[in-house]
Amino acid sequence: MGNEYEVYRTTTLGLALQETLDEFIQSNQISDKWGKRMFQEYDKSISKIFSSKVNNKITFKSKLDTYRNCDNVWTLLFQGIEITIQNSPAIKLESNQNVKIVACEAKSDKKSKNQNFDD
Amino acid sequence: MSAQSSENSVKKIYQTVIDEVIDNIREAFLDEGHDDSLLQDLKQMWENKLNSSRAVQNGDEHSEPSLRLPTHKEPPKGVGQEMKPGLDPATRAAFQALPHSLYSGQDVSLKLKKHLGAQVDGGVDGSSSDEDEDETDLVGGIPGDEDDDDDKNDEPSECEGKEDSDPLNSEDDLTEPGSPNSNVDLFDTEHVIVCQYDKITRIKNKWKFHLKDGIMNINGKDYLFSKANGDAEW
Repeated sequence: MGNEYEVYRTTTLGLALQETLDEFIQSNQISDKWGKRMFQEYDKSISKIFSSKVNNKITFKSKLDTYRNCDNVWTLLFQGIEITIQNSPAIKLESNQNVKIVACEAKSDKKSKNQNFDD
Repeated sequence: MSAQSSENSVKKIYQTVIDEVIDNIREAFLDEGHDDSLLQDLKQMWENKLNSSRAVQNGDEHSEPSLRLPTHKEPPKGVGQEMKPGLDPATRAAFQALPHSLYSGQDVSLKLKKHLGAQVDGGVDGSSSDEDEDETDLVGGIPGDEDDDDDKNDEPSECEGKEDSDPLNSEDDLTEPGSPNSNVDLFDTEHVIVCQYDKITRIKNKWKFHLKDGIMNINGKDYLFSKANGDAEW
């Protein structure tokens, strides 16, 4: 429980699932409820995968064009970006290219977030 | 090349997710009387769509643009109607951001900018209350509009046009069909990062980001990170 954000549904993998489910639902092979359930499973799996299979740190530098915080969801629009990835070539986008970031508040399921209590 | 191997590991991770989701749903699926072959078909289609959308990397992008653009003409279908009610704001925000990052950037940017402006009506938090009133302006207008007065000033004529329709889109007009840059379209100029944040702070106009568990789609490729730290100037 805890980290099942729906926000990962708009990624490549999530969208592929969305399209697949749409086709199956529209052709009446499965019901809408299965679509929802599959997405819930997807949310769970994708959230877990980070702690088990992804372990790389990146740093980036950019220019912030606009920002919004609504319901503890930050939406940021960057102009250009330079991303340094461990063991990979850096990614650089010029400032005429926009990068959008949608970030939900991280919840730690086991311990309280010490960062927020930083005095 | 390490870029390719990180690409491969992304694929593997995705495959792991697919396998896990299918396995987890299988029991309930079968209990309801559905056939396992149906589940297999579903899994197969999911994998196929995944592979056709991003696995044709490393030089193959030009060869099958049609594969990636079947729904190019119908962005609203993917965005508006398929969304189930009750999606949390993050997903709504992200849906507006990334409906067709796989396909073209132009229509998406258009709708994206409109949605960015329309979506938040008053929920902007006190992010920068001291010096700038941009927060309030952000709410009513299209993002980027107000900033031009303060920061950018490099394209004053664009400023005028910005206040009307498609303000931000006018800057992205590299995607005119027939123009030499039209193939930029196929490289999905809509770059998105979906993640969680541990902390986002600001001192004057210097922002610091502590992010985690993110999936990035940049230049059509997916990247994952467990932690991302960044700086940006506003």
